Formats: sequence, C-alpha cells, structure tokens
Amino acid sequence: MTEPPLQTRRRLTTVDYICFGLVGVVIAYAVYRVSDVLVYNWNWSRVFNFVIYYDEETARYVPNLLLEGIATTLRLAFWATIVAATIGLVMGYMRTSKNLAMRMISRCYVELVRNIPPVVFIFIFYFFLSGQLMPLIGIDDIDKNGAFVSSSLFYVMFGDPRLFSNFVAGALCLALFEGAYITEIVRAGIQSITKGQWEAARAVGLSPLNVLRDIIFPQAIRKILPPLAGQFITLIKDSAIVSLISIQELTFLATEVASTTTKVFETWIIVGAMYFVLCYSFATLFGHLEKRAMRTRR
Amino acid sequence: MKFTKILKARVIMALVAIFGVAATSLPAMADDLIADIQKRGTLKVGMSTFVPWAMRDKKGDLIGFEIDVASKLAADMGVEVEFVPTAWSGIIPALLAKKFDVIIGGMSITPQRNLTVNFTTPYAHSGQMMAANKKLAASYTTMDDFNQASVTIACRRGATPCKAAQKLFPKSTLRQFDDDAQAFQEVVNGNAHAMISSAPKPRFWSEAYPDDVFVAFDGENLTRGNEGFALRKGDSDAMNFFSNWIVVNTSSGWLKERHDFWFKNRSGWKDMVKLEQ
Amino acid sequence: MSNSSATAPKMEPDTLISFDGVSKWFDHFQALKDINLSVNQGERVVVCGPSGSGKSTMIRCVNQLENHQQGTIHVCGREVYGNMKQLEQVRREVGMVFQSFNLFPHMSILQNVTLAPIRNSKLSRAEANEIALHYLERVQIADQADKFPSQLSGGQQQRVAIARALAMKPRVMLFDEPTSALDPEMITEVLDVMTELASDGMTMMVVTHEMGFAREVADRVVFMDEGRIEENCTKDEFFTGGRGERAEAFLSKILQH
Repeated sequence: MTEPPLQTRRRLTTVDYICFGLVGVVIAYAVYRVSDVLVYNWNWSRVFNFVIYYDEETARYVPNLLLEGIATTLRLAFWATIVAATIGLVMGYMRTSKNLAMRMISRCYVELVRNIPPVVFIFIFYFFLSGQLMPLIGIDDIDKNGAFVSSSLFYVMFGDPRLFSNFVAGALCLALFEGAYITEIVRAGIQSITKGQWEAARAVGLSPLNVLRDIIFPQAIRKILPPLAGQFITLIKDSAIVSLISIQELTFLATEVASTTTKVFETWIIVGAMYFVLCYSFATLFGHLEKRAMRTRR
Repeated sequence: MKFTKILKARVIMALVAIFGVAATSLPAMADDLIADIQKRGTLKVGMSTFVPWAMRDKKGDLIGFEIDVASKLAADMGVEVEFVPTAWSGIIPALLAKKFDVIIGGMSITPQRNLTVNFTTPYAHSGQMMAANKKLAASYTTMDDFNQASVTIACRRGATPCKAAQKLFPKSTLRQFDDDAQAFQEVVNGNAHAMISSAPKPRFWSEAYPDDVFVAFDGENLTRGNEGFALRKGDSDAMNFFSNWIVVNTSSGWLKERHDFWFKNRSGWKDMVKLEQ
Repeated sequence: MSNSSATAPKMEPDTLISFDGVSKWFDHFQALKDINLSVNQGERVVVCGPSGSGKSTMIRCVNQLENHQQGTIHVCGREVYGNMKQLEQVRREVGMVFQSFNLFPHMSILQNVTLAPIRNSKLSRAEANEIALHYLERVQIADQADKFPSQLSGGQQQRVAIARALAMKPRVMLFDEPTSALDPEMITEVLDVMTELASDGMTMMVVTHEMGFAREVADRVVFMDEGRIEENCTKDEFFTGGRGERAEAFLSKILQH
C-alpha cells in the first residue's frame, strides 16, 4: 500500500522573519514618535490603581472602578443577548411566515434598525422611548430594601440596585438594537433548512406545531448558535456605545478616570486591553465549544 | 389588486406610528419636586466628572466640591443623596427626561440655558483660565496676541470656555473636544496654542508640565462666571428652597470654605486621589 | 395477472384516491390539465412519463404538498384541498417516500421512525420502539437502528424512509421517484422492499422510470405527458403495445437498455 509523503510542518521562512521585522520597525517608530513628540508623563500605576487597588486598612486587594465597569459590561452583554435572542427568534420566525402582515412588521423592524447609525438609535431610544417606557414599567419604584433586591444574588445578576433602572435602559436599548441582527441570523437559519424536511415532516402527519418543534427548530438552532455566540461578543464591544447615555459601564467609567487623572493614554490603552482580553477569551471559548459539538454530533 | 392591498397596509402602519408618537408626547403635569424628593427619601443629583468639582478618589468613590455641596444639601433636607454621573453633553436633556432632580455640576448660568432650565442664585463663581504652550505662545501677553487666525485654541465641547473663546478671540481657530483632558493634551503636544477651561484646572495641569505649558495672563481669570443649580421649569417652590439654601450657606461662609479647600490648591485632597505631583 | 396474492383478503373495491377534473397552475404555467384518475384498495398504480409531464406534481397533490386550483381530490373518503383544517389527519393515512429520502438528520434511525407514532398516535416510547423495530426489520435495516442518517448509504436511507412511512400504518403509500437519486447498485435493494410491500397487499402509487418494476408489480400503468394523462390501462395492455404515439415513443426510449 503506498503512503502519501509526510506533510511538511509549516516553518517560518526567511521571508516571514523579514515581515515580522518590518512590523517591529513600524511599531518601534510609532513608540519613539509618541514618546518624543507628545511630551507626555506616563503614569501607569495611577491608572492601574483604578483597576484594582490595595486597601491598607483591610490589607486586601479591592476591585476598583474599571473592574466594576467590566462587570457591568458583562451583565449588559449577557442580559441584552438573552432579550435580543428572544426578540430575534420571534421576529426571525415572523420573517419566514406565510402571513403578509407578520412579514411586513418584522421586515420594518429589521430595516429600521439596520439603516440607522447605532449612536442615533441609542439617543432616540434613551430620550424618547425610555422616558415613557420606564415609568410605565415602574422600574424606579422597586423597593430598594426588598429581600431579593438587597440580596447578593441580585447584585451579581444586575449590579447595584440604585443603578437598576439605568442598567435596564441600557440593556433594553442594546437588546432592541442587536435584536434586528439576530432576526436575520434566525431567518437565515430557518431558511437554510431544506424544503424536503418540511415536506417529510408534514407528509408523516405531524401537526404544524410539532413540525416546528421536532424538526425545524432543532435543526435551525444548530445553525443559529455559532453566529449567536459571535453576536454576544459583538455586543460586548457595542455596549461601549451606551456610555453616551451615561450607563455606568466600562467605557463611561474610563472617561471618568481619564478626566480625573488626566492620563488619557494610559486609561484608554488599559481599557482597550481589558476589552481585548474579554472578547478574545470568549471567542476562544466558543471556538472550543463549537469544535466539541462537531465531534459529538456524529 | 395586490398592490393596493400592500399600500393600504403600509398607510395603516404609518398612521399607527404617528398616533403612537403623538400619544407619548402628552405634556407632563407640573410636579412638586420637594415633595417627591421627600417621599422617595433620596435626592438624585446629576453631575459630570470635572476636576475638582467632582472626581474619583483612589477607591473609586466620588469626591469634590459638588459632592460636598450636594451631600450637605441632602442632609439638610433629611434625605439620602444619590449621584448620577452623566455625560456633560447630554446632561440638560437628561434633567428634562427626569433622570435626576437637579444638576449640581458647576454649570454656568447663561441666558441660552436659562430658556430650557431654571437656575438658582449662584453658589460659586469661577472664571475661565488659559493654559498656553510655551514653545508656541511664550511671547503672547495680550488678548490680541491670541486673537489671530493662526492661533488654535482648544476647549471642551459645549462648555462655557468655548463660548468665552469665541467671544474673546473671534479670529482664532477653535477646536472642540469631548473633554478637557484631551483639550489640554493638544496644548501639551503643540497642536494647539492654548486651551481655555474653568479655573483652577489650567493651573493644576500646568504644574505637571512646567517645561511645556504655562498659565497665560499670570493666572488672571478671563471671565467671571456664575454657577448655579439647574432645575426643570415649572416648579417655583423647589427654586425657592434651593436658592435660599445657597443664600444661607453663603452667609455662613460654608460654601466659601469648601470652595477654597478644593480650588485654592491641591494640598487638602492630594492624598485622596493619590496625586504624586 | 398477479395482483392478488394469497395473503391479501378479498375486499369490496374501495376507492382510496380519486382525482376529478383536477387542474393545477404554477403561476401561469399549467402543470396538470384535467386529471381524472382513481386508485382502489389493493391496486398498485405506476405513473410514468417524460420529465416535466406532471407526474410528481400529481402525486404530491394527493397529500396536498402541492395545492390544486380546479377540480376535486378525494383521499380515503374525504375531500382534500389547500387550507383545510386537520390536513394532518389525512396525511396520517397516506405514507410518502421522497426521491431525496428527507430523513431527519438530527435524529437516529430509530427516532426517525418513532417520531410520528409518538406525536400523532400518542404512543409511549416503548410501544413506538416496538413498532419501529418491526418495520425496520421488514426493510432489513434494524441493525442500524442507533446510527444517524449521514452514516448510511443512499439505499439504506431510502429503506429507512419506507419504514418511517409505514410506521403510521397508512392505507396507501405514495412513492415519488424513489430510486432516481440512488446509485445503480442500490436500486435493487429498494425495489425489492417495494415489491415485497406490494405482495403483502399495500395499495401504492409509484412514480418511477423503472419499467422492470412496473412490469412485475403494477396492476395499472398511467402514462402522462405535458400535464395530461395519455394512457391509463392495465399493465399487460400497456406493455403489449398498440398504445398511443407518445406512449410508444417513450417506451422505446426507456426500454433501449
């Protein structure tokens, strides 16, 4: 039996090293220009202090503003994804409906959101909708001393109770915005199911509900989950926009730190690194999960 | 036939949208702010980070002149205080949208703003100060020196310093930034000749870069401003209360004492923010 | 004539499917032109004809996977039409096997077959499994019950599809070109299953090009061309010759090899 020749491992060649060298030169030049021309007193420790600081009294490391900001960002991304996914599932199904009205409503929603810049959408939502919606839901009237509200579980899930209505506004805003993109993901997922599956399910006499429940959605969900995971990561990044409406997430608190310390560069570089670590970690995690799911399916 | 069906559906949807918008724009009823605050048990104060009016100490808590004023005000009312840090460019719309009760944020009283919000009597008077780049503007000593087309002046977008710059130096080129730190950075880098900001910031910052930046006009304030609390229109009782609180605390000297603590120099609060300069 | 085997009980002729003056359009194209046809209990009807003749369309009208615009169709005594309520109840009496198998890829073979009995007839999982295994054995694929469709060959998948349709114990089976998508060496295994089904007395309507199968199993042959039924006669009549021009042309091309 003839064997194929051994695959040669990819090795870095001279050309590759030259490329790395060029990139290194560009970066070094940029750093030199920054330090030479910009006349800036770097002070990393002062800004890093706002990530985590050492409290002499309790002799412990205590998370500071920026870590709290990341926690809020994560909470926003989490809840907004859940709500957006719900909106997306409903609207996405409506997009494929035989009913013209349902198709029009969902199409309107998607086109509206996708053709307005995110910033403008946020402002419209904040000043117009939330001003009317929030009092209606009665968010501000929640009893801040209530049993659940003052529990630590509430704090983990939603953050500081005093900032709750602020948080809900931000999460809702993001959810409405991202929901339109998830709608398209769901629609594509449903439409990617071959017609033959619908026909076979119907031919065997399943009721319309069971056709959806047993055949269509299980297959659609498998197609939808990877892009949905990607959407979660996108949400982490997009959540920075709600800083414009003063939601106390990482970007907003970063502006406060930059303002207080006047150390603009350090603040934003550190915050950029924090976002990067967060997003990259999730991306790697989801990649792993996807590979595992692929393996166990067959 | 199909076309008219779709057209009808679209018209109906448009009408629904219009009515929805109209319905939600119903006028709000005139409210009694003081009563609301007391019922809620909290005074919600909108402010913006602005050294040394309000800033973060090394533990991340809010400190500053505004914080002291608002805390005492709430204590005198018998309620808790809750700060709502808000981006400056949206702070008045946020007040009108009832995100908080009052703006205590070193907001200068101007007629334009007064058309949208009510102001109390002034509780502080600060001025605008200018910090200039040593290399570019060392020789500039008069107002006219800065009033040239070739001169670039930086300021914080939408804040009073920009208006002052436009008024005092109409010929100069104005560059606006989202916050003072960035505006100041421009001067340090040499991209702007000078920046204008509320005193005493320019002085504080110049201390950090003695070789590159100096305080113009020997530190004299370019303008004298008045800062007041900003409130929603339509509630004269609240206005009366807050204004009189200010009058009382001005006469007792408390406001001046606090103002000097934060603004004169940084010795009093240097350690709170872990400043090394 | 070998249509009634020893095991099939003699019954009153019971019309399971009837088309009366049925026409169907796809937009402006008329795919079915005045179809009149009936299939009785125990009959094996083979439908053949050139592509585009409307054979698949006609058979898909039986369980309303396609809707007709004119005429009436009766299935098991009930009239069927586009948006009738409880259409699924009619479909439970009609089993269908597709050209592209259409097995459910996210379920095992066993689950594919038990799904309908569990959901439709509300059987317990144990009961459904028993029925499923019975039919899977009949199509000789019971040993693959825990595999997934993607692990089976085309011929195996189609046999599972037949078992899946049989699990609902339909009164009539429809086959829409069941072997057209199979590699030649797998065609036989599927045709064998269908032949055995026929000899057990199952009423069936088969759209196919496999004339050998028709000659062996069919009672009647229906020849369609351009949306019309050109020939509708017994098998012997059809294959002896002397039919219409188009039927002869078609036969001569098909029977080349």
